[in-house]
Amino acid sequence: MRRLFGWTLIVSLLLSSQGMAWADEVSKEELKAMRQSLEELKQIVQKQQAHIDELERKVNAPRPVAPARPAAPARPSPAPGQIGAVLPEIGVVGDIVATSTQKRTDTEGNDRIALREMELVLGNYVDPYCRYDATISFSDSEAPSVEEGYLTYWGLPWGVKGRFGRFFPRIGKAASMHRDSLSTVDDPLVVRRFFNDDGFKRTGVDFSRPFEGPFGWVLEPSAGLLEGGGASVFGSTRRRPTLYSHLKTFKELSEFSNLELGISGLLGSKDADSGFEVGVLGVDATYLHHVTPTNKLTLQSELYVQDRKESLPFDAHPWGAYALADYRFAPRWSAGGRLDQTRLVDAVGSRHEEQGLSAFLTFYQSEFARWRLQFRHEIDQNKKKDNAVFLQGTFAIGTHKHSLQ
Amino acid sequence: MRYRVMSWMVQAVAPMVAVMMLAGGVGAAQPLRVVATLSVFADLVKQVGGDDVQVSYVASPRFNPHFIEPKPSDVLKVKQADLLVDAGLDLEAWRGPLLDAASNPNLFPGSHGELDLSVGIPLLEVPDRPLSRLMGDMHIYGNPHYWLHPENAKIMARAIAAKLAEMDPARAAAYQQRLSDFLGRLDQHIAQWQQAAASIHGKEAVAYHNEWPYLAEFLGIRIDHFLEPKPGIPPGPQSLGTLEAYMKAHGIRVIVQPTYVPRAAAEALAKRTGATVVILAQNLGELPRTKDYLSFVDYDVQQLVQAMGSSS
Repeated sequence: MRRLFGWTLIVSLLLSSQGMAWADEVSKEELKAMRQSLEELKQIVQKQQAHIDELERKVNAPRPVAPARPAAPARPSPAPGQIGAVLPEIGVVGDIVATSTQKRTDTEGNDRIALREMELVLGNYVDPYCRYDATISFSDSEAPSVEEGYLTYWGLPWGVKGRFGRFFPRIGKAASMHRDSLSTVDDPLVVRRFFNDDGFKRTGVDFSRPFEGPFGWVLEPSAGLLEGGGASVFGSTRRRPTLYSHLKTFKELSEFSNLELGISGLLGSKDADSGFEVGVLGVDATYLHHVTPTNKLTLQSELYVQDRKESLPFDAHPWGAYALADYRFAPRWSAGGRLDQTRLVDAVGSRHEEQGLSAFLTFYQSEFARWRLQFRHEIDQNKKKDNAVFLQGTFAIGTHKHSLQ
Repeated sequence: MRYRVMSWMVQAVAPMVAVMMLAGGVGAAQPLRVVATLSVFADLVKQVGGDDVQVSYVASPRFNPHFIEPKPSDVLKVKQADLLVDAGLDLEAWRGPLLDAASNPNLFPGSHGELDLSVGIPLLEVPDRPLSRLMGDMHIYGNPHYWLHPENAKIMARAIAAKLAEMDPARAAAYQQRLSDFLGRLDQHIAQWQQAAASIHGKEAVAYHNEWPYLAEFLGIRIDHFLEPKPGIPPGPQSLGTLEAYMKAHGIRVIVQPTYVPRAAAEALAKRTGATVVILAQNLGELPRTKDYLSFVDYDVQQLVQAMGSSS
């Protein structure tokens, strides 16, 4: 046992001495490797520091010309409003008018501040063949009403466009416009007397198509069938339809000026029992000239003549006209005036007429907000004079549909 | 007379209806009729399409492209066109009503006959936060004046060539050849413009409206402050006063604007700061020496290099 212990001790000592020598060799190898690693790490740090210095120099240096743009295909543009594919475009137009007038009658808007109109404008494509547009009008003096609600079809033969529903027929200029799009606070006298205070809109169907005419003129004929009534010149019954047609002609005189001439015809009834007893012929002219890119002169005039089946002593040919000038003399300001003249449905002997003279100043707060101050002097059929002052604020939020000329 | 009114109208309208019907058919051999929204796009189409296309544009380069009121003649052009080339995004807010009025179903957004040139363009100033009109006339997809970066002209020209070849495969080789020629000339000019602009690297100018970020990026200059206090809002005394202080503090001596905005505010500011008002072309044809894309960019680069170089 002792011998075994002795041998074990000797072997152990021998082994341990060899192990110590081997361990010593291993430590030297490790140390060497660690030193090498350290050197490598030092080199990496130095390289990275050099890279950081380089980057810092680049950041601090002036930007290079035409910085390298990605060679790979660039990011596609964001898809424009996918939600708009399913929801209608929604806009709200507010038309607030403060009026001070000498008139004693307590009618809409006299001597008061009124929300004359708040239009809710909706629209979008129904399917690949048509679009639906609607304008619902609210007012603090009238019940809500549907101003417009119509389908526009473009897939008709020969490129003809059709509208079906309630809309402004393409009659002249002012009668076919929303009040907030006019150059003045109110409609011209002839439109108010022959049609309505807010133009002429009816339910029906109409068709139009522009095409190229001679000498660079653009011609756009329109024709439609409308429900009866809806205008002072006609009776109140809707049963007898109204036929209308309009020819719009347009010529670019130069890059800065153009001329539009139009002729309109309406045929309607004044009651439910007879034929078409009322005809209206209208002509309109609009000249537009850009003095500078921001200064614009607009000259516009319309004339309407009625042909009524009236028995004496009533006048069978009442007429009315206006002439308007509006000059945008600065990017945010425009000023203008309007002359009105009408002869009403009246006895031939009495020759009752109305005249008006208006002056207006418009301030364009932004693309979506506008203020207008207007003075109006009118002489009514009884020779009574009335002076009125209007202050109008027009505001739009939501989807804003740009107007075409 | 009332029946005469209608009979006259019928007589006037009936021949036109006949003309409309006859005008419906178009010969197949006619060149492609292309309508571009802007003159600069029309020129790129012409560069690639040559005489194989018939090109016109809607927005006169003398007017602000944001606020065009399309005319009946524009409606007719679009109605008769085979291809509409537009800026996409929200630059031409009038494009939708124009398309609705023209009622040419082939050109509606996403249709075969519509080419949105913004696709593939690396847009700048893409909003990274919710927008509101409190911020003025904002662009919800990013700054849309991207045609002023010559590298973007390459993307646009390639897109035009691809679309023309798709619509008119018989002439695809000719379109490709003209594209290669144009890109070659453009590359030569890009090198010259870069060389010319080396002297103004890192310099800063102010502008009336934020419509130059792509040109500024290309030239390596900065145009980050504007006379308009917010996009679309004309400058007032307060905003001009703030800008005057900034220009004086940073030694800015150049005010940039296109032809179609009034010069009074820029000139007043220039007087107070000793700066120079530089009129640049935003669109091709806006100024006499901007007859095609290369001369158009060339003019702007020269004007800026001259003004910003001498201002130091």
